[in-house]
Amino acid sequence: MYRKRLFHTLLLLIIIISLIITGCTKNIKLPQEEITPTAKTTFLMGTLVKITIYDELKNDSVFDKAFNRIQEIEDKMTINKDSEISEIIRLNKTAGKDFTPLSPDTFYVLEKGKYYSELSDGQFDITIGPIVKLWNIDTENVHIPQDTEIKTKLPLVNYRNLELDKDQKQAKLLKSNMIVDLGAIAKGYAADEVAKILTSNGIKNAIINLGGNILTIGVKPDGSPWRLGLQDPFEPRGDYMGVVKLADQALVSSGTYEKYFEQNGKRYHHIIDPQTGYPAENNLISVSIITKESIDADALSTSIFLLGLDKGMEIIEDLPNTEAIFITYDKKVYVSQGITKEQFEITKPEFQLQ
Amino acid sequence: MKIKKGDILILFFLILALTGWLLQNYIWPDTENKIAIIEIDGQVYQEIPIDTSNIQEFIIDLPENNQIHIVVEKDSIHVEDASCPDKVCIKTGAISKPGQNIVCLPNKVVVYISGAGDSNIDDLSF
Repeated sequence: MYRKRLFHTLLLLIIIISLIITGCTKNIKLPQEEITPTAKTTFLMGTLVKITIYDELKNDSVFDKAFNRIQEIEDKMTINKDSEISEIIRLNKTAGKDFTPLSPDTFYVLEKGKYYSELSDGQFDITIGPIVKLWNIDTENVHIPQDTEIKTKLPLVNYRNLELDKDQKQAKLLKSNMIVDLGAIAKGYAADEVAKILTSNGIKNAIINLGGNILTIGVKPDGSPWRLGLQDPFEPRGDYMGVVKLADQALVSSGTYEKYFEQNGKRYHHIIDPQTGYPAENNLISVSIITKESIDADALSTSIFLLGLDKGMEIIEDLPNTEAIFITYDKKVYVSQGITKEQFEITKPEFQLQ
Repeated sequence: MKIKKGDILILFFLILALTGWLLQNYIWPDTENKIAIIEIDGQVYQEIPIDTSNIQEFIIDLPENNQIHIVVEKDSIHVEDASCPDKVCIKTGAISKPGQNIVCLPNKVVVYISGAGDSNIDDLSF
């Protein structure tokens, strides 16, 4: 009698477990609230631009306004095209001679660039142009420059020799052959400007992605924060190692894993150390920055990368509303104090949070 | 101890059902259709289902005498060669999961895998 009851209990248990297991999977697979965002992509500022809007749209005109604004910023600030209207090309051409009048856009970005050059004590330097040109990392002629070439150009790199005249909105490079390069900051500014356009057109929920630089507007339509994958630096693009939650924030990453070339068995990446003229060598493979405005995250991701883990973390902890995630070559992950377990979740166990 | 035939039958089917449920991923592997999409300058150029019936390679002619050489394998797609200066698209390697993508900036070509995708994230920072 006892054994029979045991048997029936066992049977009941199996039924219950089966029901629970199958029941659970059904619940997990329940479709979430239907959200059909509208996304548009285009190529601007030498990168892939994607804008995803989660609000209901009557027409696509807001995308055109946004893309036109990015084009306008690119035209003003590029040094890579033979652009007659690029104020930065004009500034570089008149280096050592005259002041160049600037639009409020360009002046603001230069001011920010100089600020971050100062903050990092020259570890980040917006006058890095002459050295970047030597390395040519984006072009067909990519090669290791002659050491003597680097030594000759290095004295031209000094943000202190960029004079900004705030009243007249004009700037001057004090030595001839100096070159300002806004490559590490202009995309950040463009994202902020796109956000202004979207917001003033009534958009409340959107993600702006400029070549991997993320700026979010609001939160998801269901009220929960955005979930952004953080690229696994060791895998092809699209594979992420963690998820960062954002609300009305920017997330920008800089790393050695995207733009590089190999020569004589050694890898040369695109983040040039203004002190040496060579790609930065530390144990970091990537740095990601979270801020309110995208321009700050953009400039900081390069600055903090160049400063390295210890000094970089120190500066981040001193800045308000600014957080950072560092990843090293041996897959160790360091985060600033403001990043909670809730905000950043590592999804690949081989990455070890320190 | 009286165990009736019916009890054993129920038990047998329950265990069978449970085993079947546990092994479903092995018996019916995830054959969710993966489609590789090739976009040129924002326009869809070609959609290729990634499965054993579409193994192929081809070269796409692009503006200004540029070319991109694409290889589709049974479960992945990659760029074999391209007339671009930075070769980022080749270094990216093969992609096989929804959400992964290959971007050739100089030629304005994007190759990505669509599918149910990864609903765990809204976008990617890289």
